[in-house]
Amino acid sequence: MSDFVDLSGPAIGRIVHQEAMAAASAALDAGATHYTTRPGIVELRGAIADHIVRWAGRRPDPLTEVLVTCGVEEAVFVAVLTTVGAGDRLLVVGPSPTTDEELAAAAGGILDRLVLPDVHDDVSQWLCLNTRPRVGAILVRNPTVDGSPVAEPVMRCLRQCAHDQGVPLLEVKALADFLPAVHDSTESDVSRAGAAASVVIGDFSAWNLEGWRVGYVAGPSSLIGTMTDLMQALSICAPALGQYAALGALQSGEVTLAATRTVLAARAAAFSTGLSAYGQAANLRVAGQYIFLPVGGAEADVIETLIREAGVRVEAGAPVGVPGALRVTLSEPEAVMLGAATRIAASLFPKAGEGVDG
Amino acid sequence: MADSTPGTMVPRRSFVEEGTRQRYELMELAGRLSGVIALGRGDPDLPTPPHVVMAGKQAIAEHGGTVSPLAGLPELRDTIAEKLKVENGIEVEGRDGIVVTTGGQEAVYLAVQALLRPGDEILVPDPRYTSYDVAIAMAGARLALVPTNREDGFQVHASDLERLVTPRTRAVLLISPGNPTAGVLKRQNLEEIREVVIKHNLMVISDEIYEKLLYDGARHVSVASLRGMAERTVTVNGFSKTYCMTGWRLGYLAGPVPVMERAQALKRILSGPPPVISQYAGLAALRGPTAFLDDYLETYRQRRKVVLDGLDGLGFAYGPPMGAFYVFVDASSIGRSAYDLSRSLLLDGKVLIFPGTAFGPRWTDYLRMSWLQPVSELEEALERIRDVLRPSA
Repeated sequence: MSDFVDLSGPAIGRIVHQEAMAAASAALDAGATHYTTRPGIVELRGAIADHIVRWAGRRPDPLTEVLVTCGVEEAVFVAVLTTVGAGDRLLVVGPSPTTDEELAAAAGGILDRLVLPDVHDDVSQWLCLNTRPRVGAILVRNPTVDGSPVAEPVMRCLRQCAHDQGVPLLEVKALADFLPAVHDSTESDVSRAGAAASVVIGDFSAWNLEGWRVGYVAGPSSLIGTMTDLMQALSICAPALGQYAALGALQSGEVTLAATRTVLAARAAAFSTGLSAYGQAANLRVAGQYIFLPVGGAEADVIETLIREAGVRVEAGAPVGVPGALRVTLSEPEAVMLGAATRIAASLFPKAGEGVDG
Repeated sequence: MADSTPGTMVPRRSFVEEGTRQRYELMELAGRLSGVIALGRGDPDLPTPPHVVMAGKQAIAEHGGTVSPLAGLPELRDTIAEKLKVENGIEVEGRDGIVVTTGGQEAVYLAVQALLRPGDEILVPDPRYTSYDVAIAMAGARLALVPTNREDGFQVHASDLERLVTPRTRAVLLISPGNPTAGVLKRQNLEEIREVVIKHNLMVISDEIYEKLLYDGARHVSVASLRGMAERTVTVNGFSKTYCMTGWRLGYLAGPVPVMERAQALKRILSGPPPVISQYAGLAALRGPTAFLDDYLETYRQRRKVVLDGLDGLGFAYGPPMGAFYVFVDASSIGRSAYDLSRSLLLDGKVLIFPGTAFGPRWTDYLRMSWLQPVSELEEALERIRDVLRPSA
């Protein structure tokens, strides 16, 4: 099929933040080809500290409380291996990738999944009932892997629980930058949780810098120091050029992110339009650069069918924590997304389409 | 984030080992001083070759918004496989036998995790780059140290391996040219090691990151090129040392496909795909001109001569540095512990040199010195060392 469309990769596609590219290029001209300090260049750590105030409730100390990593994966890895000991539980809240099993195992721990409560549940009861002994760390992705923000009462409850049990709360904010900036954790929230150790983990995928492999983890200096020691045995430090690109991205401010959000929203709308004639648009969930389309099961067969019949490649949602759905990357312009959605729908839901049209 | 209650958040494990702690303590101390001549960290002062930088710039323009596959760009994996075949005599199953990593250090970590299980033992030459220790500990395995010595250029002997092998021994880790010793393992020694490895059904992790930095006619032999060793060896390499690309964080491991698959599975949770811009630069490094390396090696030869002449003048003994850019110096004639001596050289002479104990506790009389500074700086450093040592000489 000549117009085959690949919507399976992690890159946003066709969006490049010139500020980030220019910063990296300038750094290369200046000879930034050597190891940086292990925790990352100080300027970037400072910019990260500024950026995450909205989530952390206060500005972490860039020198002792921020660590630049090789992508969000390494940030999560060093955070879990530092906080979860042999036999400890890694309590994962909400939907999560299947690889969390391996993550807990790498730490010698046990994965314990905790389903998010229904909005009408008594949150405090939910957490009390589900809290297990020997919890090394609580890991929550907020927004979740399918793009849903975790309700603030739930987050407050998690912070309180972390505080009460003296365990760190690892909050992964990788998808948060795709949403308009909100201060979803205030100083008073964190204060209320007392000394609960909030550890914030993020990356620069919203600037389409995922390929540069730069992420970060910010938290108590006692933990960050140990994570830095572990990084010595892994990557030593994050790629220098990636760090400068990330710095350029953060310094470019909210405007560039807003532009990305606009483009992604338009692509998602086009994809939704392509499915609407088949009555499927309402089922879509947008998460960062992805859109999830429920298909009910047998995703592997469905994906093969789409490659063969629709000329579209997508990924299964299950490995990233959204079972029963296809993961579609919003990587192409609106017209292409519209066409791909139409072909997907015609392949998967032909009768629905006929019914609407007739 | 709140860290207001001291002692509230305690890490569940420590990743500090003494050697690395010493190295970073001294580097941080050096960072607080002015005018220090750094002969410590193995970060080449020479620039990344221009054609590699150019490829990096082009990649920023053309591929800045892309993400690499988990195991690396197919064309880079193919090129590495071809390089190993042509230059090293190593046969792997094409790109499936290659995993590109975020630096050579990660390649070592992945190789260790892919090969070792809790309770296993791995034989590692002593002295060693101690970051290996954390990787081995994280696999739940045990390090068994293989003695080496200055007198024979820090060769690893099969007889020592044979003596140390136990029913739990699973693998041998070799690095040639060596860090910190700069010793180059001879073919004859490697052939004898091969026999022990096959006899006891072991695997080898062969760290070859300094393979092209050789002096005085030394020859590099890749373990995996020896008969029957390709299926028993994971070769680790990277771009940091030869191409002066430490900041690009690019390395790779090569070996049997099942081991590469295990390494990839771990890499998925460890750090995801390797950096894409660095990979295009690495591709240019492997495919591009090599004349720069002759120039760089000539520069290193001149510096090496200055350093060795200076050490001779100071009356120090050392194992002949046949590769890399280090010399492992026996400073026992000074009569002070290596760590104290390193601190004194730093504080009193403003010269950063790592103590031997940064590479294993036994090496209390040794120093590791690099020549990653211009000749004029090396001469100045030697003069300062002479001044510091004068009162106690």
